Amino acid sequence: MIWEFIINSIAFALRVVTTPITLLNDVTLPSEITNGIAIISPYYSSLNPILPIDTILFLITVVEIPFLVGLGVYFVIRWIYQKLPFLN
Amino acid sequence: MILKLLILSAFIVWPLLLISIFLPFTASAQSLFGNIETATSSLTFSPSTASLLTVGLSNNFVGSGETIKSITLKTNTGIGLDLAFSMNPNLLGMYSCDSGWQQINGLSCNTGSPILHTPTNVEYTDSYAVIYYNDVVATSGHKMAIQYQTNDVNSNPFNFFGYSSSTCNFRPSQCSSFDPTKDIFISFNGNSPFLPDGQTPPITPTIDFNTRFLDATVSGASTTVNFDIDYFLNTSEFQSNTRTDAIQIVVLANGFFNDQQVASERRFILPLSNGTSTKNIPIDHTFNNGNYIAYVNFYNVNTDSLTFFRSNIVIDFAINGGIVSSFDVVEITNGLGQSQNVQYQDCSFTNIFGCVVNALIYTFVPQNDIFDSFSDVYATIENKPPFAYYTATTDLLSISTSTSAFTFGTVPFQTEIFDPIRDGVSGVIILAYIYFFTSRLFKINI
Repeated sequence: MIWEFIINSIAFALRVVTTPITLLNDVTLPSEITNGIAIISPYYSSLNPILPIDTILFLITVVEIPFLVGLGVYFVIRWIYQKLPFLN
Repeated sequence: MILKLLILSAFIVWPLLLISIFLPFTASAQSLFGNIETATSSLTFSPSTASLLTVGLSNNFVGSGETIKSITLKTNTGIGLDLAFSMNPNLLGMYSCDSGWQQINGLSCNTGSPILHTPTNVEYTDSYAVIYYNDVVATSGHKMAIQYQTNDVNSNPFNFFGYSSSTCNFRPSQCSSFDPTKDIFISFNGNSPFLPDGQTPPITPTIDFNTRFLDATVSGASTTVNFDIDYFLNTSEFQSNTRTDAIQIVVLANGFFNDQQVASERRFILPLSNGTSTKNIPIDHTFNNGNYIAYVNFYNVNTDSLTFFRSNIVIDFAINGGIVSSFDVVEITNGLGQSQNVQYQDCSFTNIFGCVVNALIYTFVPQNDIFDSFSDVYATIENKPPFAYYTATTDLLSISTSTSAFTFGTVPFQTEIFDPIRDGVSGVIILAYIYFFTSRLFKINI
């Protein structure tokens, strides 16, 4: 009961936060990118068992970039918010 | 203020959510894919004379817990067949005639269907006739395919047990002494040693596990329909001296299988590796346009009979114009939490403590599907920027290119040395990132 309330609350907050993202179009990588990834794929496959490249990739693309983008959006919204003449 | 809180919450919950979502999809889950076995086994028999044949046993047969002590093939006045052997009751006898497996060239039978007898409570020392073939006239020129499987129609092709293992190399095509007019070739599937006569059966393995089907997709054409099953598996108890393949996914679909027969099932072995993975299940069959239902179940073949399963989903799919046009997946039950030792107690005047326990369970133990909402959130954003850049990239990276000009070669001592080092380095990177991330978070002037 308690845990369900907590988890459902977090899920609801996530759903609200991510709602704007769902309005975006699906990502289709350009062919140059896919070709480039295809080229480095064997190097990645060979080195990843030794070096945790997937961990670094995950932190950069899933945590860091969304965080910076979110922060930037926040500052933009705050700047617009502060510029509105009818608000203090 | 509310907008601020929402955006601020993103800074905290996004990383936590995404870490919890993506970590299971890393290397540990990928390692499952290489262990999935697919193949078939079969037997061809064409009786021409009344005779009594004893099929030789291979001490290289792979399959434990289902020890076959002896196999005796008897023709009954030239028009019938009894196949008898002593076996572990967990062994599953299957047969197919004129339909179903369709892996044997020239497979044909006369009219009628053999009666399948699934053994129950059979001791190792008992002889048990599994198939009484008297109901079907098998005359010369007609072949019948019989298959006995410990686990899987689609198993390792090199685990064959043949008429003479030393000369046949477990395959009838390589067996010079094999006479298809009177010899019987039986192939068994499995992954643990076969015991010859006189040896003590191995420990019957016991496995307890939590499972759940996460998702499923259906694709393909009228000749082959592919089921891609995403599942979660966590083995919590395992006792066996040899066996590693006791958990199965079983696909049972009506409309093109006779769901009243055991032979209608497609059983697929799962490795006992924990985590999330995907199992591709191809069903080769000539499908007509129409609607079909597939039942996908998790079984523990050692402790669960075919009447009990841990998790199951029902997949409705339709074939129109020769292709799979639509499908829908509904989860019926899942096995998560079944081994968590969380059980409601009797609540009565004589057992007030049970009421307290029930109240505590109700208060603090979440439902099994409580995290479904997180999966739903993930599903809505996985193809959206910026998250899709990660998922699309990792998907592309996971595709191996056979034309690669660069190969690093096999790293020696990968498991013993480099895997622990890699895990350690990965952990250090994550901890360092969390430290710098949080310290940077506190410095942001919001």
